[in-house]
Amino acid sequence: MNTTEPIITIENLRVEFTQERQKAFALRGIDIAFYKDEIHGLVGESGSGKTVTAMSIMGLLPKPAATILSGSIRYEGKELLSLSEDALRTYRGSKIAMVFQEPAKYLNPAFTVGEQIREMVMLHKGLNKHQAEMRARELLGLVGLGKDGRALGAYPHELSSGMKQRAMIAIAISCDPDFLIADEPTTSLDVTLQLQILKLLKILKKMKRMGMLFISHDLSVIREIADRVSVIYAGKIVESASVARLFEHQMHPYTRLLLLSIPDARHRGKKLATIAGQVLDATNDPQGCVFAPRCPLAKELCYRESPKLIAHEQGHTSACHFAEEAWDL
Amino acid sequence: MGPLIQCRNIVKIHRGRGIDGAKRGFKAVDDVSFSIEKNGNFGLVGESGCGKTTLARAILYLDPPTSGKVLFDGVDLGSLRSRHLRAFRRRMQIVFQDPHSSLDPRMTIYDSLSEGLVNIGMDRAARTKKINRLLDLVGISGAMGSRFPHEFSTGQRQRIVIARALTMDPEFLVLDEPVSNLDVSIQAQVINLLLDIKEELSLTYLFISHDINLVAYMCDTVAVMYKGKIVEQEPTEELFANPRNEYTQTLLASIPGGAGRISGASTNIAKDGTMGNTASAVRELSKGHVVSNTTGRTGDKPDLTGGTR
Repeated sequence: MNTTEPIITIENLRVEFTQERQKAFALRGIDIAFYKDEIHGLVGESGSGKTVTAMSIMGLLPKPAATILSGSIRYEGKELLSLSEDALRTYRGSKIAMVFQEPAKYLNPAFTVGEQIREMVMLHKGLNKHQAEMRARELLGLVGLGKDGRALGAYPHELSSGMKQRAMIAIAISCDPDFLIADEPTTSLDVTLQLQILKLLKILKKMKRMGMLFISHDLSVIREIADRVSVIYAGKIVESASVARLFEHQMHPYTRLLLLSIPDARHRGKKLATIAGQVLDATNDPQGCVFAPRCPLAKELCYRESPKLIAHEQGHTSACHFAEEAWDL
Repeated sequence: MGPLIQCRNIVKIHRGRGIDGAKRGFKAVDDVSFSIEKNGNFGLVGESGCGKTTLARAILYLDPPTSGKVLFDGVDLGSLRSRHLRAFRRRMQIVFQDPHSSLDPRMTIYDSLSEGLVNIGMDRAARTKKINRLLDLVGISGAMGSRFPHEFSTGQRQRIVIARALTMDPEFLVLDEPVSNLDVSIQAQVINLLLDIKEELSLTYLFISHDINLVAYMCDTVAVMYKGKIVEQEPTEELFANPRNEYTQTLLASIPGGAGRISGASTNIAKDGTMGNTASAVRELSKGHVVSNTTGRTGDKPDLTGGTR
């Protein structure tokens, strides 16, 4: 594990969305720290707050729908939440960059890939046109689109989805960010392509010594790429540990059940474990544990008192009243 | 038990617009033959754009194959007139990937499920009884029948779509990526449900997915499809233990956490700064269908970079 200071620290972050006078609790108090040279996997189901976490760091939450109720996000000790839009812009893109799930949606169809990279480095790094051109070539080479320089002059629609994702990554790393957020970057890709992109991200992390937040709903992808994993459920981090530790020993029933519900060829004929019921509705604000209504182990205490994220041995944290007990699911 | 479905040399050519498209067409399914035993659970796995769905639609005669035969219970579907084909349609149903677009938003669940039954002239009392029984089977209370699709979650909607597919008492069910849109915890519920009703109603499944792990869990036979052809077909255990085809091996190696671990791939960047497995030249097979021309770093392993989404 890392002993140095984290690049980004999130503390007790609460985000609320207001829509048609209804309140939805997107994040219910999140604590998480990201370190240099570490890929931090964030895993959860849809609506659990993965993307909201990413968008909060980027300062890209939709306004006025989203309100940050409390908490802090610090980048190398500086508070990001209190920065003005202009000040934030110097961080966004250059220090903290992001790769999105659907590259087709986030690339501008009207500009070539080369132009979109040049724009980044000219704006943030102050390069002139010629330097920017060189930089764009270099970056495309780095992400594996550089063989003949064709991608440089290509419009997004001329590229396949895998190539588009590579182009997105090239744009994201163009200003040598310290921290890269990858929000489900491989979800819309085929498995063979997925593997290539995962490899690329892992290599880039090593080369640039970046910190990385890798968001996915797929535990097996997380297992492949991450160094540390946090599991998020209904806007709360329920468990966090190193990859090796988490897959060996779970300290939250949700994580355990999630792992058991993945179909595996080796368990053919056996029933899959299921998590009964539905994901907690975001408009609900329960007093107790967010997972209690679906938890087979829930006791009276779980409904009464919300468990805190408590650190156990080997940097393993869990938000369960009964984390230390040996339960059988 | 004999085979329920037999496919013989199925070819499906999509003819696009434009000179080239109309002349050559695009061979989406290329000479595919296989058979599915009664009560079998046949898995079809492949990447997007390889022709899985086209093949399924050809088998159901929703888009009849360009050439080749589909035998359902020994009867050649191609030889039937439309009236007789319709009778056969009752015996085969399909569940699509996206339950949001396969339910009519303006119809109540009850109405959606009763459409087919009205068509065959079943009276109201019998219909209600049957629909309630089916909804109960998929774990949705019959009292919810008067609700509209938007009032249900994605997982519940997929259950409703499954119930609808069962209204005509089919023998053969095509499941085209039925759980790809669902969250992991909901996915498991639907998979269990599908396996239960298969047992209970002794159904025959053609299960289509891009997720080889899932297919291997569900099915007893797996066929791997690549660029319109079935490149390998084996009983599940055999395919996993001993994949012969190179593409199957690539696919198995690509499963996250599978054989193709990433850890060793730290020095893949060549001296000129380009990655080894580069996709450079692309060619367009048909409109919007782009396929990479390059072969991978490891020689002639297929490098799929194409496909529309």
